[in-house]
Amino acid sequence: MTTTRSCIIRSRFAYRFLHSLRKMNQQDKTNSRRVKHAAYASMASVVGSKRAWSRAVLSKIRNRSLLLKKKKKRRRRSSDEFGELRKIVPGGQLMDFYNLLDETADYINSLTSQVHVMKNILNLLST
Amino acid sequence: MDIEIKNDSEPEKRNDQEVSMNYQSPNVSSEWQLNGSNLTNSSMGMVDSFCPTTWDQPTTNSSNLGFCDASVQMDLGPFRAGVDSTLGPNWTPSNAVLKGGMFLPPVPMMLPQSLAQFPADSGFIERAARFSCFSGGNFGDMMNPFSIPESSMNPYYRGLSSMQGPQEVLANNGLKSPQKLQHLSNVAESSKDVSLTHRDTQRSPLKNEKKSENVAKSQDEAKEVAGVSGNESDEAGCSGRQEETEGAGEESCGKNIGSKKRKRGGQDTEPDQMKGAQQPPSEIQKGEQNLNPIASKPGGKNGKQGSQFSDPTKEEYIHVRARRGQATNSHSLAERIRREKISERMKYLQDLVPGCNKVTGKAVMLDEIINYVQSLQRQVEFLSMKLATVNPRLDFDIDGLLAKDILQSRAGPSSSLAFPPDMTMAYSPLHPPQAGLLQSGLPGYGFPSEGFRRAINPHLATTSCGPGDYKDPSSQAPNEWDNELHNIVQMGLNSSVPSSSQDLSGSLPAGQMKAEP
Repeated sequence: MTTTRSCIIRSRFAYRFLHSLRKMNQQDKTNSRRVKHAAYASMASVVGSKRAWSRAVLSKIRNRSLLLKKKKKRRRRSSDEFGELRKIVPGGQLMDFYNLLDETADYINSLTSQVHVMKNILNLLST
Repeated sequence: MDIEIKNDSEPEKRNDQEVSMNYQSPNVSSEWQLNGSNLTNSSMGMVDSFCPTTWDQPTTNSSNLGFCDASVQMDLGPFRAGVDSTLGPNWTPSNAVLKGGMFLPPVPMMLPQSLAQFPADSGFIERAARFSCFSGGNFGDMMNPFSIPESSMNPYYRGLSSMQGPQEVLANNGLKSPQKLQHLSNVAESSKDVSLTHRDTQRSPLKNEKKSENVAKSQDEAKEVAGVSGNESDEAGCSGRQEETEGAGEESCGKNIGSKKRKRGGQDTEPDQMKGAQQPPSEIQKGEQNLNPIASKPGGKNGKQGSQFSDPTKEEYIHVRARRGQATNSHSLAERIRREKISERMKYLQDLVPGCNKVTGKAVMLDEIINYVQSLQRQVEFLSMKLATVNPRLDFDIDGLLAKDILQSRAGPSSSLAFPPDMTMAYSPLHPPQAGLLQSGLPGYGFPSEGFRRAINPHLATTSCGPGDYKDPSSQAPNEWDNELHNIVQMGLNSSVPSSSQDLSGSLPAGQMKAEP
């Protein structure tokens, strides 16, 4: 079951990511940051708004300009022993520990499939 | 006091059975209601003889609601630490049961179903009733193998409680004259009996066993009655002590169940003997204790309604169990639940993160997880960098890439799991030729493989082949690609277009493009 789900996620992610790459390519605005954002955004939108981390990623990408303007430093539970994990997992600052672990598991899953697909694309493109 | 010793040893014995016993409480009581209803004809007289003393006893409350409370308390016994002044008398015989239970060989299914065959000897039946008092705990144990899931019983419960409406009303009316009440309740029971015969079929083996145990106990322990009754006060002390730990409390709950049964048993097996007057005072006392639940049987049904309220809390506590010496207040229980959930999550993460299996200790594991996530993020970054460099040179074809991607991901999904970020540099030049050959060979030119792909995963096929249908329009109007709607449209088109042509058209340009760089 998980394998089929990850298969679906992978194919959808590849679809979205390739389209965004193509769009970037046609607009001649390709740089690594944009590609990375595209990868994250497409992964998050594939996973959907069910997961907190994908919501966080999407909102971060959508409100990039706002975030740049504000530059407000929010320090939340930085003294937490799991602060590092919170910093890594998007949206992890607001969660309690149990949900953080849950999100981390899902985030790891999607990251692995993302890396997998991106590697395949790169291989195919560079041949 | 050997009884005390046995009581001490009991909690450990039962610790593992506590859960099932807890769950059984509804089952057991309902069964015994059934038993009582089966035997009402014979048991009426007996009940009447005991009634006055029962109702005069200080522990029984004088109103129907009072009965409710008592039964609910019996259900919730373990969960309310301090409630139990009223429970004392109920628990003591159940403790005494343990002693009796030790001597009992289990005698399953040896006795005829109908109890009417027993009561020929009145003295024997009296003894049986008394000894059934001492066998409640054992019943709890014996019932475990037969435990039926609570959920299956619930409909019956509701049926029962609805049927008990008239009975309760009658009970309210008859409160002042206990005998009348008992008569009325018996009548109600008999009516129940008719309606519940279908349950009898289900229950018959269990009942049989119980009855047989009753008899066996009565036979075995006829000699010990006097001593045990003398010991009851001591055991009351023991039970008070046992309340201190939660496990013991639950045990006593199980015993309460047993005591309910016992009371039923008393009803069952003492049908025609109104000779209660002849019994020595201690026995009468026991009879009173036994009859408390009987008298509160309508209350018990009410109590079940009440226990439906208390079910969620019960459920919550059933999962987390305090062992000896652990704190039982709600905060530490909640904290324990939380810790269990977290550790379960951690186990799942441990399976997810490679190389995390050997690590022991939460902190180290968290470090591993953090490292893994960071490495994955770095990989994404690195790959996007590479893609950014590769991308401008290529006017790639999406559907061909997609087909290959999917195929490859299905072929070896786990290949990239343990991929260290530094390895990507060394890996990427080596990897592509084989993969590219394989992939371009398979999906593009082999129709059977395409069919295979569709058969296996139609969803993937539709999403991946969608672009193929639309390839030509997309080259003319590339901006439309980002629309989600197109995806759906393409899926709709997909069925009408033959798959072979799109595959060829999709894969050939990819091959041309590959030749370019």
